[in-house]
Amino acid sequence: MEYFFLLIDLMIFSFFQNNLSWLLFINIAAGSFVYKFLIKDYSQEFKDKVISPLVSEIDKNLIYKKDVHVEEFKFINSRLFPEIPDKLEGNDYISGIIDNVKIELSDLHAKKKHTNSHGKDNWSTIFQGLFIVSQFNKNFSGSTVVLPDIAQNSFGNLIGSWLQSHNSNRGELIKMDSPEFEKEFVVYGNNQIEARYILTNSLMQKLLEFKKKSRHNLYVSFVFNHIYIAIDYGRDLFEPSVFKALLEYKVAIEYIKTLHLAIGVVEELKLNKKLWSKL
Amino acid sequence: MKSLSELTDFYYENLHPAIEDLEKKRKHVKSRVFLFGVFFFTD
Amino acid sequence: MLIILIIVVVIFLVLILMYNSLISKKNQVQNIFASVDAILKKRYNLIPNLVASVQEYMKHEKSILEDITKLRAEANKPNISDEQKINLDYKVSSALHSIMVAVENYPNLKANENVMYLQRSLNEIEEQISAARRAYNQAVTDYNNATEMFPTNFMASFMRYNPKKVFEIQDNERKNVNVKDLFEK
Repeated sequence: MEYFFLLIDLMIFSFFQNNLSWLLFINIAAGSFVYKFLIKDYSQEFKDKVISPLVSEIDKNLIYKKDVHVEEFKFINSRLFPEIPDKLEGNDYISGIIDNVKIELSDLHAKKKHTNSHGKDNWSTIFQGLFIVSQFNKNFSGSTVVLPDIAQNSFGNLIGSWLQSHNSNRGELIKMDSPEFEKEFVVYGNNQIEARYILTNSLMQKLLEFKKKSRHNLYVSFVFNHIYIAIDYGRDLFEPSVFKALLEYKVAIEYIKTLHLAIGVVEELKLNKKLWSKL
Repeated sequence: MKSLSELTDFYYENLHPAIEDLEKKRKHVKSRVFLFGVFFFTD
Repeated sequence: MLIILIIVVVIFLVLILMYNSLISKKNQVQNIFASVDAILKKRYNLIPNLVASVQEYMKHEKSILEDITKLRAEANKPNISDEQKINLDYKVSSALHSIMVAVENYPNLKANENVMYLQRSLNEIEEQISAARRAYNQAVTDYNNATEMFPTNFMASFMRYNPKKVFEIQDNERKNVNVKDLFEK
């Protein structure tokens, strides 16, 4: 079943021997293009017959559009990724109202173009994964950004926190009063009080649980009464592979779990808990 | 909202006919991909 | 000779950095306290309305109502220190809480639209106050650390900076504090 990959491995081996790895690169790029072309009909049908009914089974009010994605201005408004993408692709758009809360999400792949000295274009990934936008149940005017704590994890406490406090293009560093939360995330914002008004102890707890469930890096921001969540899966989700049987439990549960997690964000983070100020 | 196990049941029960149909297509596409792989990488 | 000069310059630079960091920490505390104060005032402004709408029904809780009115008057006095404001906030929070618990005993009050509105406003303001307290406490902790830790503690004592008091953070499920006990000490 995996002969295909074995073949690729063989090719890698022989090409490296001939020091022609760039040719291999072109081959793989062309190969994956043809692969996508070959499975296109199958994957479209898969989305119509499996993903779409699953989405409406989760909630009848949800709409699924396989070829649409969350609009670019929302990605930029989220302020999660300061780089403006040169190309934004995506698919598997889901939108609707759950428990009176408007929510939309899709696969997104934001890329940045770099031109090297030979005039050749290189694309790097800013973000690839699931992007969720939802109304937030509190009124606020500023922005608060919660990012994975990469600095503190890789440089240790002292240098890490120094690096954090000097990340000035993100705004003020906001130290939260939950050590577990501080270990996983770093918070920036333009208002010390507002950030804590949004990030109550219970929301911090819920974000930690959500992060644990998603098992990927989590980027969360709160801008103009909206919450933006980016889950860094690093791949295109809800795409079928022809090498895996659809009835295999592992394959099935993967699709179901991801959908359940993404749409469940309203319940999970209690975005449906109405606060009087929003009435 | 429906729970994970409810959704799994839905997948294996309600979607079963559609998935069986898709499985046939998948095997067909897989052999085409394989064929293509052989030609593509042994030229 | 040059080495001595370099050492002196470095020491001088370090002193300036320490001085500036202490000043900025003190200013951060003051800035945040100003916001805390503004939100506390919002809550004090709700009190007369609240007292007016519940006092007809609450015969048994007259003393709480009187106390809270007194507390408000005290908070409105000019020239009270930050520390006094923090103490008053604690008392007002528990007094308001007991009033809200008492409201549950009066079905007429619970259904009263004005009271319901006040209750929602108070809940919202409580959330804002809780956020403000947490922000203030963080700023004070940073400031206190700087005044107590080596080497900035020397600079702090030279500048006569003393550690400041933080707000007591109360649990989400605060117990029904007996306000009478609080005042009869």
